[in-house]
Amino acid sequence: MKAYVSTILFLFVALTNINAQTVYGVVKSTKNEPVPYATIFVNKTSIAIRTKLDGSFELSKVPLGQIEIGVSHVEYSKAFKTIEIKSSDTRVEVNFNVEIKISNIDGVEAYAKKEKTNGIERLPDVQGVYLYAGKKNANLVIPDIVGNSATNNPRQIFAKVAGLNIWESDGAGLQLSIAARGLNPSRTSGFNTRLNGYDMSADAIGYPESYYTPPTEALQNIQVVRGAASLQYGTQFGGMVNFVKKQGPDSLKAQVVSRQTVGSFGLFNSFNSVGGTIKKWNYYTYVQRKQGNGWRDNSGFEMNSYFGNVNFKPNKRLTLGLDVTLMNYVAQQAGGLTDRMFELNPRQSIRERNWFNVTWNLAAFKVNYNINENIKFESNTFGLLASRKALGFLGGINRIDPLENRNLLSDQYKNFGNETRILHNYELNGNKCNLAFGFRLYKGFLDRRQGFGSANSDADFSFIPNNPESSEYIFPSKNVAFFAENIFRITENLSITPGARFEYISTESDGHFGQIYRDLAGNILDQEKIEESDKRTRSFPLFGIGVGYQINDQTEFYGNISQNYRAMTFNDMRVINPSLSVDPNLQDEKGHNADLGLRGKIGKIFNYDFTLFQLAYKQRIGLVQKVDPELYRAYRLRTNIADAKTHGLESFMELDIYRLCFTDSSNCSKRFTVFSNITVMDARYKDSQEPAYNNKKVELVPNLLMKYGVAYQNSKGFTVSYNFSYTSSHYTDATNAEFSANAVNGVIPSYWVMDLSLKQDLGKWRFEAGCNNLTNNMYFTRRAAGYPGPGIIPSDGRSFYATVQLTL
Amino acid sequence: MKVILKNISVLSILIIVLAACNSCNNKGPDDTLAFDQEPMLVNYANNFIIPNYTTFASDVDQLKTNVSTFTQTPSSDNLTSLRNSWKTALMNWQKVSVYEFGPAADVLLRENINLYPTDTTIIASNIVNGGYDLNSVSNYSAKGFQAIDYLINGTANTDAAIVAYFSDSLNGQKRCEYLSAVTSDISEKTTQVKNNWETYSTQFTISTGTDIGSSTGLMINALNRYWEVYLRDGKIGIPSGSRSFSGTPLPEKVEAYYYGEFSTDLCLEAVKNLKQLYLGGQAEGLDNYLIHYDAKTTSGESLNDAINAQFDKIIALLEEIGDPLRTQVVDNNAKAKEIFNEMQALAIMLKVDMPAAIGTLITYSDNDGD
Repeated sequence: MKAYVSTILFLFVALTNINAQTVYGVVKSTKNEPVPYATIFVNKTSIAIRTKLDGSFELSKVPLGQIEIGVSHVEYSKAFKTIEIKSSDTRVEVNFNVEIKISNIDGVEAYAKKEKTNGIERLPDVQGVYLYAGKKNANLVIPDIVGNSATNNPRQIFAKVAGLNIWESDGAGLQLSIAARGLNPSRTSGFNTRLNGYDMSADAIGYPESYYTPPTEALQNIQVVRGAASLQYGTQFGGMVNFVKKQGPDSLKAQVVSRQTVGSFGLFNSFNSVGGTIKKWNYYTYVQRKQGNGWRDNSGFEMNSYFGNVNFKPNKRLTLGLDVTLMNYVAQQAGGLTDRMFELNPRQSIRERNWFNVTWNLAAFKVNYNINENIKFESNTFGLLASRKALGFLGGINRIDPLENRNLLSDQYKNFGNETRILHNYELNGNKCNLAFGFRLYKGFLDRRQGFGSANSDADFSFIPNNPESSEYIFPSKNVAFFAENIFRITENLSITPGARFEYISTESDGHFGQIYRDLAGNILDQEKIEESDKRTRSFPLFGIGVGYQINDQTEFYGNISQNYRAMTFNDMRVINPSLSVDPNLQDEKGHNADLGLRGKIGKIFNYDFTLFQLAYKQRIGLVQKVDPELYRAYRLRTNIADAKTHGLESFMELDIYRLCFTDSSNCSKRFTVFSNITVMDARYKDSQEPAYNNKKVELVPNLLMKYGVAYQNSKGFTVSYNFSYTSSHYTDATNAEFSANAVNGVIPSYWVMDLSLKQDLGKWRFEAGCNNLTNNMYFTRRAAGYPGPGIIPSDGRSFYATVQLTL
Repeated sequence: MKVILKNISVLSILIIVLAACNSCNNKGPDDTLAFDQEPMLVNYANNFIIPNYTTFASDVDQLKTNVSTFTQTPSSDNLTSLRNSWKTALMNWQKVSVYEFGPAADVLLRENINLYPTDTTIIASNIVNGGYDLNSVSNYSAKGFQAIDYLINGTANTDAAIVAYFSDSLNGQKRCEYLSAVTSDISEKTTQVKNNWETYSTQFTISTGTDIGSSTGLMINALNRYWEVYLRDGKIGIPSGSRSFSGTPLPEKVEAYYYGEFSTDLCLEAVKNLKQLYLGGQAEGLDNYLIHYDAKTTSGESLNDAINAQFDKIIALLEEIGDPLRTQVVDNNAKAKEIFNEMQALAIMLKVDMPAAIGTLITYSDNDGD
């Protein structure tokens, strides 16, 4: 009996102790600092645990035999150790020393559940092949932002990015129009816009308008780097905005995410994605359809979009990727309003025949190769095939539609290019330095036609043939650039980053326009077809330098000054009127951005970034009245006419009140945060050749931009977020007109808006809902000179939305 | 905690102070040496625009009465009265045609009541078919003063034949109706503009400044557009052939072509009125504006003197060429083209030099999309 019991006991003990081995240890960094929240796991099993604050861990029930213990943490390189667990071992010690990663965005790490951010982070000094030291930047973490992602609501998504003037031209998120530091928000043309690191605008040099808005539901990050981005990314005063799409999860073969949204005014948005990793292949693809009636009359729309990304990683060093984006939408345009019409009823529309159509097809092939630990190579080859068509009666909004043939403006864009970059890490006097250099080759082509379409009301984007008043131009462009930027770490705390870029640009125009001479009643007296062609070639260097000083571990003082330019656009070169000439000596608009800032954190409680900035925008292109001395006629000359300087302070502060009050909660997922995002700025014209502009305030520069927000999140997957946004009044033209009869120029009165969004996670399900423009304010953010107006473009009133998401 | 609060409060104060400072700095350029626009604008509103619209409106009323008398009882005497009141109204129109902004722009007054050459085909078709909407864009060249010109002066060679045209048993009734409809249309729009100016004049006199929406900006743009398109081109340039490639004169494009005997007089009236407008009559006008800033031409002489001299030159040439303009543009084509060139010279001063000196922008030229 005793033997029986003891055998059972022994067996029992043996059975329960079959996996009674424990592996324990400490994870430290190569600087001997403990690494908390690292994941320790037994490879090819589900045994895993996280390290404590002191880096220590205990892995129990470890199987016998040869096992591989791994440690992973988002900020550190993965490490593995193979050990043999014998049955006689009870506790085995395994320690790790892990290296800080110069991180790549490798996608969501499935092993360690990443701690949620407050939606905004800063880019590290070096990321991939890009340098961000000393530059003002923001990295939005989209999955952590609660907002109306079905309509890409920019007030909520960009709430924490300092100093943005946001135009709201359509409530559906088809068109993104944002700008910083008083630049023109139209189609985000003040920024160099990119998708996954490659260009996505119509023509980066000649027509930098972004007609494609990547759907928020597909984004992982949006990176915003200010003016000092000019050296690595090239043109545009505002800097760079990079939309980074999600990647398929590492740990699943196929993850399906399906989101269905319904909202006010007939909004329906269906977003369905599947992504995953199969052996060495990683993929992510989605299909989206969005449609709605719009808040105003005559503003319905339909959009279809597709994206596919495939990455192949044959070995640890090489990654090959292919991106394909297809998008198409047709939207009816309600037209603008006069000031009086807006006061009476902002939802009305007196244009029933105006339509807009955009097709956007992008493809990119990406090669990432880590030559060795210290040299990284990245080469992106990309291309665009796109078109934009605007149809309708585009005459002044204080005229009724005469119901005749409509204006039709049709653009076709074809461009392709390559950007190749190399990052080299090396040591100088015992300090780590980084050199980033590379080149860019770009060939653009735009075919622009302007003429007349049918006199009907439908969305028929075909031209009436043989119309003598039509014009057609082709604009081929070429761009070659070389750049180099280097981070010198003088001491452990001080880094200096000088950089240079050399740019060669060739912009051509070739085409004709028709000129008809009429009598007062409109009868044709004569007509002629005028051929025009022009070619501008120029090359110039750009320089910049940045400084970063780490006051302590969490606080940094930074500054930079960097030259910027905005190449003359195709519109600047195009002539469709014999009384208009382009100055043969027309120069690109040049200037610089200068930042002086302080940014940092205080624990996990407080996050701040203050920047004093100056944006010098010289040689702005515009029109001046001139007299031709030979022909003795007056004409308008397009030339560089004025300089403008913007000064201001951008400030951002975020406080986690929950962590402030409960100091032992740093590993809790509850949050209660408030933030303030305040920018003050001013800008005036100086030395203007057009006397009407001298010392006037620069258009589209609001003196005060304020955004506030409160967000609460509990540990049961519930988040609520409230935002308030205020923009002070500003002018829309350089003469500072207060009012004009056709509403194209005038004041934009100051306005404020509030938004509220909620989210609830329940296992595989997620529910989102919210209200935009809580108080149903009637306001407008822009006046348009052409489509979608002309006239005042009202912003949407109060709207609701609800989303259901299922993840499989 | 204390550190954080201290930092937050310091930074918040800094931001508030900066914001306040920025709004203080919104004083514009030093305004003490600027030209005082108000007396000029008040002078224009009270001594030019409103009285001239009032006179014109009463002329149109008289025209309407005479049309009514004529259509009830077509006769040679009634035709003569009608014609005289038409002449008076059209002559006084030359004094207000230039003010195509504000109330006049709201109803597109000029395009609606005085577009030429008139389209006789559309007029004939409207009369025969009826059912016409005079407010439609396609009928703009089939109405207004020039349509009346055709109806009472161009439909036949003698007064008796014209009376017969209107008393014709088959179509006479329809023709009378059309004449009445056209006249009512003129009267309706004129009255609307005249009445709206009672209230608009307040807004007009207080909108000082030189930006696009200011009254000075509107006046200078309206003046230039009128001078270039409706006076220089419309009255002289197009008929003399200066605006066509071949240079061949187009006599049928003169104003009041069918009456034929006072086209040059109309042009002269318009030019003289514009000169008075520029001078502000006996009070403040644009000339004072230019004198205040000591504006100069490109060759260094006084811009005001140059503009005055050019006005006088053009007036003298117009008096020389005389009426009927429709034969003079053919027989005396060189002189007609010379007048066009002198008008062009004045256009340069008004469109390039004057706005530059005052600081306004010419905005009515074509804007392309985007």
